[in-house]
Amino acid sequence: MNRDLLKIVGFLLASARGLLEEPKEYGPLRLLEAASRIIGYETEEKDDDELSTLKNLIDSKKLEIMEKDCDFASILDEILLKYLDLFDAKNS
Amino acid sequence: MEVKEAILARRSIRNFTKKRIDQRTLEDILKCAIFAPSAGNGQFWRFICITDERTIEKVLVISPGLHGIPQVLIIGCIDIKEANEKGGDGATTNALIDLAMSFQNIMLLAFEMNIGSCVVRSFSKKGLKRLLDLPDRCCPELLMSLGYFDSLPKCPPRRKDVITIWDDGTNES
Repeated sequence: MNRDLLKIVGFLLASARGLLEEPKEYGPLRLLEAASRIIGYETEEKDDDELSTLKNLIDSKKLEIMEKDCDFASILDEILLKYLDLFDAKNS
Repeated sequence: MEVKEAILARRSIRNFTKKRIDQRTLEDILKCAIFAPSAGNGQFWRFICITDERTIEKVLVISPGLHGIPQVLIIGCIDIKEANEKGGDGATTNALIDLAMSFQNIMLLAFEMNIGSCVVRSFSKKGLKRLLDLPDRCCPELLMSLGYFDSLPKCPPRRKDVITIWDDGTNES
């Protein structure tokens, strides 16, 4: 397995254990982080503006969630809709 | 920088530059850690400082709470054996509080030096113990990332209703 992906596996396994005792909001944050890291590894290998834009959105929203009192659900919806735009564009 | 300024301006930093933190700066920071107060002057804390890039990378993999790529990681541990032997009832709780106070010292001094920090507990204790070959008596409790930063995040809102001042009513506000 690619070393970067192996690191993601470690991150997910450590998250799974930690989340048993952590606030429930941490779960979605860990998933966002994993998504961001997977895109990051992919875009390091080859340029992809759309994926990079999605990663930037995830990262900025992730920080916003951690640093401000904001509507977590709306932010997650916003990211998902951006992802769907990208998914459609890549499959059209 | 005044202490009050550091307390009010410090933020948790999750993006670091690649600038190295030199050994002397690190020693200064750690010296301030061990000058924190501790219950009964127990000093049951232990500090493990990691500057090696490959080890930092491994710790990051099993520490979901850490963000960015820091130049240094400080692992705050408690010597449980010593705490239980010398600290009496509640020793490990006290030691954890002591450790937190020592970490605050680190964060404030680091901030004065333009070094950002973030403290987390979201890491695999067992994974870390194995990775660093820690003895059973040494329990990792807090993990701090350190590195120079370019920008500070905005201050999240602070609740004012958490403070109660109980006086005799003669104190003018």
